[in-house]
Amino acid sequence: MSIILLSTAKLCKTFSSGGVQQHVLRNLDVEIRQGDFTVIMGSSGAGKSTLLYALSGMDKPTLGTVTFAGEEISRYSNDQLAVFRRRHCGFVFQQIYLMDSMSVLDNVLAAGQLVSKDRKALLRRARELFAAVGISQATQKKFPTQLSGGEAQRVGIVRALINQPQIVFADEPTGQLNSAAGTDALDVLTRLNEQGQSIVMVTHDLKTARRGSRVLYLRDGMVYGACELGAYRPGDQQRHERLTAFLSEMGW
Amino acid sequence: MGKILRLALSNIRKSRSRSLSFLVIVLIAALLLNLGLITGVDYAGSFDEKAEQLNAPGVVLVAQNDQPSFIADMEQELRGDDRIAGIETLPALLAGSEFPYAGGINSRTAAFFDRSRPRETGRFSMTEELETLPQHPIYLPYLFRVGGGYRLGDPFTITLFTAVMGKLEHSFTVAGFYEDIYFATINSTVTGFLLDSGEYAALEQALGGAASGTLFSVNTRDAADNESIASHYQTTMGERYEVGRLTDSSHYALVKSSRTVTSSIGASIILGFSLLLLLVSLVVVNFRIRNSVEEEIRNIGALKALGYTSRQLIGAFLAQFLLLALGGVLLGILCSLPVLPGLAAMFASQTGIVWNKPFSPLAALMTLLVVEALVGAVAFISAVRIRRLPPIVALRTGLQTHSFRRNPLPLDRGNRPLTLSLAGKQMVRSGGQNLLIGLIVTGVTFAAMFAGVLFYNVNIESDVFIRMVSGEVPNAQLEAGDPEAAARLMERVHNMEQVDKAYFFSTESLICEREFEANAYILDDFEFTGNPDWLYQGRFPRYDNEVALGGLMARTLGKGIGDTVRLTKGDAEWEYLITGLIQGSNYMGHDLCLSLAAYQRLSPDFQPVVFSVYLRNREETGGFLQTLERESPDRFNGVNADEIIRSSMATYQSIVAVLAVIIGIVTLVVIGLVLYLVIKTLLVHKKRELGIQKAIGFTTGQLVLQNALAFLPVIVFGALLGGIGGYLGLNPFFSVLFSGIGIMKVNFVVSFPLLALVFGFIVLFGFGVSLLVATRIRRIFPYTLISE
Repeated sequence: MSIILLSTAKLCKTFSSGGVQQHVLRNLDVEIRQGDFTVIMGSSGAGKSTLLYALSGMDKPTLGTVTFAGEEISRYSNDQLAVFRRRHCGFVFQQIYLMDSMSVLDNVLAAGQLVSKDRKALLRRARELFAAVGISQATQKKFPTQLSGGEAQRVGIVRALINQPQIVFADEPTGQLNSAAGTDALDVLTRLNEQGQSIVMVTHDLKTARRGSRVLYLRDGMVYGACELGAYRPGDQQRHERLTAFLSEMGW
Repeated sequence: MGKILRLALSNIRKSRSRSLSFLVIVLIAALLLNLGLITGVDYAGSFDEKAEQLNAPGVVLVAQNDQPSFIADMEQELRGDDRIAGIETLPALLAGSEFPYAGGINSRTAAFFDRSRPRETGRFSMTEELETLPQHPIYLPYLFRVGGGYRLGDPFTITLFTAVMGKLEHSFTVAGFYEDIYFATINSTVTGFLLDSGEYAALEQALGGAASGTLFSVNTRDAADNESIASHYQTTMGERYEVGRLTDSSHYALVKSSRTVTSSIGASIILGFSLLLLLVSLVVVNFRIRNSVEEEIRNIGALKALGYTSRQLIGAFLAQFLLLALGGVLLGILCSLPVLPGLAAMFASQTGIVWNKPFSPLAALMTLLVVEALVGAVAFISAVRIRRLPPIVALRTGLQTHSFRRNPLPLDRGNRPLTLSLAGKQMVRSGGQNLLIGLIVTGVTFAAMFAGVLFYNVNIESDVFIRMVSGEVPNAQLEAGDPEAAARLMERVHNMEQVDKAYFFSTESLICEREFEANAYILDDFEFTGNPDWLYQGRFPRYDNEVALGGLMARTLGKGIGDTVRLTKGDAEWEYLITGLIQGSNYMGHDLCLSLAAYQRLSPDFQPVVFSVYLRNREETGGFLQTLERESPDRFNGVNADEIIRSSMATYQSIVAVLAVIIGIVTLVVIGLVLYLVIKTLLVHKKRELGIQKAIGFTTGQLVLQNALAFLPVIVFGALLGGIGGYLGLNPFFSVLFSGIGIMKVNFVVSFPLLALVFGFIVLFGFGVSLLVATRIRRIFPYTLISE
C-alpha cells in the first residue's frame, strides 16, 4: 500500500477582485501518493495551478486543510511555508524562473545552501545532477540568458532536485519549450520518477500527460475524475487509449 | 501635449510613494533655497531700506566734548568739506558701561540721548513703548528685546565709568524699544540709550559733566567717501581737541556689515546646504529615470511600436519630473513662509533690525527657475537614451543590464554565509546605484560634520571660536586715569599672586594706505600674547617699522608678508613692513598690530593706560578685580573681559544651535528618503527574483537582511569618506566661509570622537532605514509572481 505524502480535506480557494468573488477550488479532497507521477489536467480556469500551489505551500487555501506527512501545512506562517518548501519540495516552473544575475551553478547552489552547510557535498551533488541532465561544466558557468529554453529548463530541474525533495511540483514544464526540448525535459522527469521521485505536474498537453502514472481531472474547481495509468512505457498504445478515453469522458 | 501629460501623470501614479519621496527632497531643497535667497538677497536690502526710512547719515562722529567752541569749529570744518552735504548735531552723554545682556554682562561705550530733542538725520524710531510712563524710564535698542531678554517694564541697571566720577550704577525701567542704524546695536563700539528730558538732565548731573559730549550726524554727497571722511575727522578731532577716550566714528558700510554679518553667514550656510540638497535631488532624478526606462522598457517598446515618437516619450519623462519638482518647489516656498518669521527673529537677535518680510517674489521666482531648470536639464540628459532604442529591441527587453563577464562572489568558492554572499553579489552588481548612494551619504555626512563641528566649537568648547573671533581675550582689562597711574597699577598687578601675566594693550584708530580706517592694537611686548590663533601667518612685529596686518585687509589691499604699508595718524605718516597676518572679527578684519615704539612714531606723545591681565585661574577674575579695587589707591576702570565676551556669544550660540539641529534633522531625512527611493526601486526591479527566491524557500527575514546588507558597505564607505573629508576639509571650508568677517584661518577642534559619533550614527541610521524599507519584501508573495 502506497504511503500518502500529501492530502487535502475540503480544500477551497477563492479569489476576490473588484468585489467579485471567484471560487476556484471547491471542497477538494485529494491524495498524493509516494512514488506517483500525478498529473493534474483540466480546461483553462479549472484551478489546476491553484491546486498545485496550494498543495506545495506556495499559496494558502481559503478553507480546508493541506496535510503533509501528518503536518497540517495550511496553518503555517509564510516563513514556515518557506522553510517547508526548501526542505521538502522542488519546483519546476513554466517560465523556468532562473535568476538572471547569477550563473547557472550559483542558481542551483543558492537553493542548496539554504538547506545544507556542507559545501563540498552540495557541489558534488550539483555536478552529478547536471551530468544526469546533460548540462556541461562550461554551461554551468554561463548565465541563464545565454541558455536555450531546453537547457534552462533542465537547470530548473536540477535546482528543484538539489535538496532531495520529497515531491517535485512541475507547472506546465514544457509550456515554453519547443518539441525537442520539451521531450528532453519530460524524459528527465520520467527517469526521476522511475527512480522513485514523487512528482505532481500540471499540464494541458496530452503528450505530456502520458508521462504520468495517475491523472486527476479538474472541472469547476473539483476533482471530476481520476485515472490510474501505471508506470510510463513508451509506445504503450493501450495505456494511451485508456488516457484518451478517460479524457474524452471528462469532456476534455 | 495632452498625450505627454497623460503619460507623465500615469508614470507618477504608478510609483506614488517614490514620486512623493522625490517631491519631499525637492520641497526641502526649495524651502532652504528660498530662505537662503531671501536672507542673502533681501536682508541686506532691508537694512538699506531701513536706513533710508530712518534717514541714516553716511557718517557719525561722537566726541566727549560739548564745548560751544568745539562744536562750532567742527561744524564749520565739516560744512566746509566739499564731500559733505549736511550735518546735524545732538548732545550726548558718553561713558564706559556694563549692563546685563542675555544672561551675562556686556561692556560697551554707552551714549545717552534726549529723545525729546529732534533728530532728522538718523531718526530714532520706536518699535514699542509703554502707554503709562514708569519711574526712571529708559528706551533700549530693539536688539535688547529680541536678543537681550528684556521686556517692557523690566528693570534695567547699568554701571557707568567716567574718569571723574569713577563707577556709578543707575537703575531704570524699560519704557520702550527703538530702532536706529548706528546706535541700536551691541555690534559697534557705541550703544545708544534714549532718555526723557528729565532723566537725561538727572544723569548728566550725576556724571558730573565728564560724560557730556556731542554727536555729529554727517550726510555725504558720495557714499564712497564715507570711510575716509569718518577716519579723517576722528583722527583730526582727536588730534586738535580734548575729546576724551570715548571718541568714535562710524560709517554706513561698516555698521551695515557688522550688523548683517550673522545673517550673511547664516544665508551662506542655508544656501550651501540647499544646493547640496538640490544636487541630491538631481542625482535622484537621474537614478529614477534610468531605472524607469529599464522597468518600462517593454512599455516603451510598445508605445514606440504604436507610433509614439522618442520626443514624446522623453517629453513624458521631462513632464513627470518637472511637474513633481514644481509641486515640491511651490510647497517648499509655501512652507518657508511660516519659517521666515522664526528665521527673522533669530537674525534680529544679532542685528536688532525688525525685518517683516512675508514674501519675496524675486527669491521665489529665482528658486522656481533654478530648480526647474536644473531638474529639466538632468531629466532630459537621463532620458535621451530612449532615442537610441528601436521598438523591437525594447519589446525584447533590449537593454542589456547584466554583464556576462563577471560572477562576483561565486557560491562554489569560499565559506561565506549564503546571505552575505548574495548581499555581496547584489552590491557588486549595482555599481551605478551604489555610486549614487555613496555620493549622497558622503555629502550629507560632510554636512552633518559641518553642523556638529560648528555646534561643538561654538556651544560646547567655545574657547577656539572666541579666540578666533575676538583676537586677544584676557581675563581682565584695566584702564588707568593716566600713564603714571597705569605704571603704578601695572606694578601692583604684577605682584599679585593670582596674576599669570599682564601687558599693555591699547586700541587706537588710524588710516591704512590713506584709504581704510583700521583699528591698531598696540602692545609693549608681543611675547605675552595669550591667543595662539590671533597671528595665523608670519610673526608679530619686533621693531618700530614693522606691523602685523589684518588678513582681510591685507587681501583687500593685495599685500602680503614682506610688503610695506602706509599708516597715517593725523599729519604723521610712515611706512611699515608687514611681518605677519592677524585675524579677528572685532573690526571686520580691519585691524593691525604695532609695537608701542612703532605707534609712537605716529603719535609721539602716546603713553598706554590700558592693559590686559591673564590670571592663573580665570574663575577668579571677579575676585581679582574686587581686590584690586579695594587695594589700589589709583582709580581705574576694570572689566571682566572673559565674562563679557562669553555673554556676547550667547546670541551666536543659540543661532548656531538652531542651524546645527536643522542641518542634522534634514541630513537624516535626506538619507532616509534617498535610501527609501533606491531600495523601493530596487525591490520593484527585483520583484521577480525575490519571488523566485521566496518560492525556492528563502524566508522574508533572510531576504530583508540580504538586501539591507547589500547597502551597508556603501553607506559605511560614504560616511567614512564624508567623515574624512570633514576631518581634513572643514577648517579650510570654514576659513572660506568666515573670511568675509576677518577670520582667515579657522582652527576648530575637529575631534575624532565627534567624527566617530557622526559616522556611527549615520551608518546605524542608514542601515536601520535599509532594513525598514526592505521589510516591504514581506508583501512579495511567490504565488502572485507566478500568477502574473
